[in-house]
Amino acid sequence: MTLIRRTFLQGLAGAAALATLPGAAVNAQAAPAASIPADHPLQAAWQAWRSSYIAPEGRVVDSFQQGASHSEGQGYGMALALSFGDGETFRRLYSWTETNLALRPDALLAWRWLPDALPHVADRNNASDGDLFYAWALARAARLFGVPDYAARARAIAADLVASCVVTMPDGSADVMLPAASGFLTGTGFILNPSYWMPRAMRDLAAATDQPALARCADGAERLMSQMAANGLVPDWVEVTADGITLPPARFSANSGYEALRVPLFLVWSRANTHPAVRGFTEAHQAAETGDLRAPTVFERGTGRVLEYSTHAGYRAVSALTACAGAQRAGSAIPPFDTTQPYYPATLHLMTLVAQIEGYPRCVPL
Amino acid sequence: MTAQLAPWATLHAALALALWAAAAAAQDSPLIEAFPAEDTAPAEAAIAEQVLRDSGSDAAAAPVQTWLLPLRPSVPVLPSNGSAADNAALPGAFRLTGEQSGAEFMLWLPDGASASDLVLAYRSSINVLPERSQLSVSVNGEPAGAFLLTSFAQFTPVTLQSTALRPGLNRVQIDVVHHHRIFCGPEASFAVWTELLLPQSGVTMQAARLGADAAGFLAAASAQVASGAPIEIRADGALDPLLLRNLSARLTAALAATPDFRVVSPWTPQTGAPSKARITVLQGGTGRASIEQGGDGAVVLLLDPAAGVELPLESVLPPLAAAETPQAGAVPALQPGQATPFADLGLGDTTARGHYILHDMNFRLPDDWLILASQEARFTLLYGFADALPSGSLMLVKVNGQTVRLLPLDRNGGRVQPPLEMGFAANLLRPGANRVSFEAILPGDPPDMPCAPLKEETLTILGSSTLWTPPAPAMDLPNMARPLARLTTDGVQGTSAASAATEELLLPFAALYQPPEPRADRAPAVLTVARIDAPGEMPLAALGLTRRMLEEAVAQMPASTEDSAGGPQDSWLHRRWADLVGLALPGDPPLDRWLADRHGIAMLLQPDPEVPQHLWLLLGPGTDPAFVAAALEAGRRAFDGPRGQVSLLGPDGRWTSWADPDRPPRLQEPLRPGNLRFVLGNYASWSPMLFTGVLVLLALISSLVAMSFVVGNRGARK
Repeated sequence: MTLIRRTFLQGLAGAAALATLPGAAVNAQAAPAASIPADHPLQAAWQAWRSSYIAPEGRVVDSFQQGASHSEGQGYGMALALSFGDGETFRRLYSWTETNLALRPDALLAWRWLPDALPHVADRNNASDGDLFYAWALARAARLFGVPDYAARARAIAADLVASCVVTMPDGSADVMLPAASGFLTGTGFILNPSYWMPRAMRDLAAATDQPALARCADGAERLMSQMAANGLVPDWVEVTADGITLPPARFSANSGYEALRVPLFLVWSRANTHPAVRGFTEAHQAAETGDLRAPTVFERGTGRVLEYSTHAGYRAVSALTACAGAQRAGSAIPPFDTTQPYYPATLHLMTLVAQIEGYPRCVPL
Repeated sequence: MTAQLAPWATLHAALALALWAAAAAAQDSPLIEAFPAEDTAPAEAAIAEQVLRDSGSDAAAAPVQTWLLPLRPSVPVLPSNGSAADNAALPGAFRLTGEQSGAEFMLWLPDGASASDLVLAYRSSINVLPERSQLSVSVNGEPAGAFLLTSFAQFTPVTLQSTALRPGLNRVQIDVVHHHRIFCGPEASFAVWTELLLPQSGVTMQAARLGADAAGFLAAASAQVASGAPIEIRADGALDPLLLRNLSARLTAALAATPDFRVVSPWTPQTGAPSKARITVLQGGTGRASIEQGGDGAVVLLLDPAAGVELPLESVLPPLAAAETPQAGAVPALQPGQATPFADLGLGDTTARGHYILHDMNFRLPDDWLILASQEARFTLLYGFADALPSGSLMLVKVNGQTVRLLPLDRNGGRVQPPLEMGFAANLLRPGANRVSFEAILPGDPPDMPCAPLKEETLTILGSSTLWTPPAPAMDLPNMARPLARLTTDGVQGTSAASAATEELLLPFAALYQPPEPRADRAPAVLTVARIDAPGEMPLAALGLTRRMLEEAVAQMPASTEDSAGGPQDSWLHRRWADLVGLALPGDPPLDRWLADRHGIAMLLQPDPEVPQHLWLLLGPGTDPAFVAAALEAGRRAFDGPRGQVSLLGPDGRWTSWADPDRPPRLQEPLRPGNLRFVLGNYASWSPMLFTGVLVLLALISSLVAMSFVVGNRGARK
C-alpha cells in the first residue's frame, strides 16, 4: 500500500476566485431565498414533518431507533428548515445540537443521542453525513439570515471534516469521505457508505468554506458510484482496498438497502439525474414493481433479487422522482406526503419533494 | 475605476492564497493516512455501529389491497348529504319501497376484469315477510340470481355469481318483491322496503388490477364518488375553466352523479383516505392527455394542456361517449291542440302489481303556452285492471300533484275498459315541465292479514291513451323556469372576482346535462353562481330585496327583531285587508312577507326584469355545490322545480318558489279577434280586480261619451 498524502489546499487558488477576501467567513454570495416560498403548498408538508418528528426542544426524534436523535437527523432537519425558510425551527435545531452533540474536542458532532441512556451520548464518534448536512445548512443559513456565527461554525466543521474523514483512493483516482473519523479503517483499507455522500452539499460547502477537498470528494463520490453502478445497484456499504472496491466485512450490509436508497435521491438532488446509479436504481425498481403500493427496499447485491418491501410512501417517492427526472417525463408518481410513516422514509419523502420543486418542475406529483 | 481594479484584487487574493497554501503544505496534512506504508502499524479495526434505518416485509408477504367498485344508480339522485337524501335514511343507501320495486344501476369494470362475484349489501324493514319477499338481480339483461330477504337490522352482504359481468359499463337491474308480515294495503305497501348500501355493493378487485386506462379510471372514479369523497383536481396554477367544465360534464354523464370536485395543490399532504381517482393538470405542457397511476395508487387522468392544442379527451376516455344516460336528453314535449299518445310522452304500455301503484308521466308544454282561465284539457284514457279487486280500490289521476279524477277499480274489472274521456281544468297545466300521475290504491282484503299473492297484474295503462290540451295564444308570465330550461354549461359563470375557489364552486354546475328545451332562437341563459357572503354585483332593487333579507333566508342568520314583534302588520285589520287583497289580487304575497318565515340552503333569483335570461344562484355558507347543482338539474325537469322570480332550495332538495304578483302576463303575438277572448281571459284570471277596474273604467268612459253625445245632440224639449 502506498501512503497517500494530499493537501487540502491543492486547487485552492482556483477556489479563491469565489471569494472577495481570502479567509472570508463564508464566501460572499447573494443571499439566497428559501427554495420553497412561504406560500407554497408544500409548506403544509413541512409543517406536518416538523410537528411529527421534532420535539419542542429542537431534537429530531427517530422513534424507530429508540427515540434516538442523530447528527444526521439534525442536519437533515436544518437543511430542510432552510429550504422552507423556517428560521425559528432552524435555530431550535441548532441550539439543541450545539448543546447536546457538540461534545467532541474538534468541531464535529457526536453521532447519536439516546434519550433513555446515561450519558445520553455514549459514543463520541461522529457521522460524516450528519456533519456534512449540518455544516451545509449552517453555511446556507449564514447567507440567508446574515449570521456570521453560523459561517464560522460551518467553516470549522468543514475543516475538521476534511481533516478527519477525507481519504484518497488507493489508486489516487479520487478523494472520498469516510463515514466517520474513527472506526472505518481496516487493516487493508477502509469502509465506505456511498449514501453518506451528497455531492451538492459537498460542493456548496466547499465553495462556502474554502474547502476544495470537499468538492473533490463530490467528484470522487460520483465517480465511485459510477463504478459501483456498473456492477449492479450501489450497495449500502463497501470496503476499499488496494485491490479496489470489495464487499464490506460481514456485519455491514453488502446489499442495496435502506442506506443506499439515499444514493439516487442525493444524486438527483445534485442535478445528476442521468447518473448511472440513478438509471440502475430506476430500472431495478421498475423491474420489481408490484403495483400494490409497496416499494422494494432491499435488493440482494449481485443477483438483484428483492429481499424486502416496504409500504412506507417515502421510498416510493424516491423511486418516482428518479424515474421522472431520469426520463424527463411530465408528471411523477410521487405519493402525497404522509406522516404515518416513520421518521426515515418521511424525511426522504420530504427531501424528494424539495428536490422535485428545486430541480424538476415538470415532475409534479400526479 | 472599480472595474479596472477588480482583476488585480482577485489576482492578489489568489497569489496570497497560493503562498499560504504552500506554507500549509509544508506542515502536516490534515488528511488521513488510510493506506500507511508497510512499516507502519495497522489502522484501527472497524468497530463502528451500523444503524437499522427501517424494516419492511419480505417479498412473499405481499399485502393485497382491494377496492370495491360500487354500483351507481343509473338515474341521478340528489347527493346523499345528511338529511338531503330523500330516498334513504343512510348516506349511500338506496331504498326500494313498495310491494314491487326495481331500479337500474351502473357498474364500471376495468379492462381485463374477469370478475364474477357481485356483492350486494342490503337490509329490509322489519315489516317484510322473509319467506315470501325476495330480491332478484340481472346483469346486462341476464339473470344473476335471487335470494330471500332475511336481513333486517344490519346490512348483510350477499354474493351472487354472474358470468355476464364484462369490462366497461355494466347495467345491473335489481328488483324486489315485498310482502308485509301483518298487514295488507297501501299503508302496508309504504312500510315494506329494502335498502342497498351502494358503497358496499359491487365488485371487489385488487387495486393493482385497475389498469391505467379509461375503464380503470371510470371504475376508480365511480368508487371515489361512492365513498362520498370529492374528486380532487390537482393543479399548480391557473386552470382553464372550459376544460374543467368539459371534464366535469363528461364525468357526470358517465357516473350518473354530480361529483363534488375539489381543487388542490399537487403537494397537498395526505390527510384522509387515499384517493382512488383524480385529475391532475400540468402547466405549459405538451397538449397530451393520458391515464396514469399515482404514487398513492389513484388512477389519474393526467392533462398536460398546451396553448392552441386541443386535448385528446375523446381518445383517452372513449367510454364516456357511450355512457350518456337517457335522463340527459330532452323531456318529451306535448303539442297543444293535438291529442298526444302517452307513449310519446314517455309512458308506454304499463302494467303493475300491488296495493299501491304510482306511474308518473313527465312532459313539457311550450314556454309561451299560457292558460289561466277556465278552458278544459282532456285525457282519453285506455286502462284496465284485475277482476274482483277489493272494494274501495281506486285510481287517482293527478295533474301536477292535484287530483282531477277518482276512478273506481272495484267493478267491471278483468278487461281493458272502454276509452274514458276525461276533462280537467287546463290551468292546472303550466308552461314548461308538467307531470301527470296515476296512483292506484287497493285496500287489503282483509287489511289486517298479510296480502294473498296477486295472481295477475293489478293495473294496466295503455300507451295509446292520449292527452289533449287546448291551443293558447303565445303569452307568458315572467318566469325563471324559461331561461333555466335553456341553460347550458357555457352559461354558468362566477362573479367577477374569479379565483380557484370560485372555479371549484362552479364545477358541479358545469355538469348540467343537455337543457330540457334547447332553443337556439332565444337569448342564451346565464347563471351566475356565488356564495351568499359574496353576491357580487347582483341587482337587488327590482325585487325590493336587501342583503339582510338574503342573508336571513339563506345564511340562516337570526331573524331581525325589529319586525318580529307584534306590530301593525299583525293587527286584525291588517290581516283582513290582506285577505281581501288576496281575493282581489291572487298570487304570492310581497316578497318580504313571503321570505319572512322561510329558510333555505340556496336561493335562485331572476332579479332584473330587463334581463330575464340572467339568473343568479346564491349558496348559503357551507352548502355543498354538488348538492345544489343536482337539485337544480332535477328541478328544471320537474313540475315543482324553480319558477317565478325567487326560489328557495330546502335541505331536502325541494324548491319553493315566489312569483312577483306585479309582473303581468305578456302577449307574444298580435292581438286578433281570434285570440281576443283567450287573452282577456288570461288577464282576467291573473288579476280579477284590476280587470274589473279596467272594465268599469271603460264602462264609465263609454257612459260619459254616450251621455255627452246624447246631451250634445238632443233637441230642445218643447
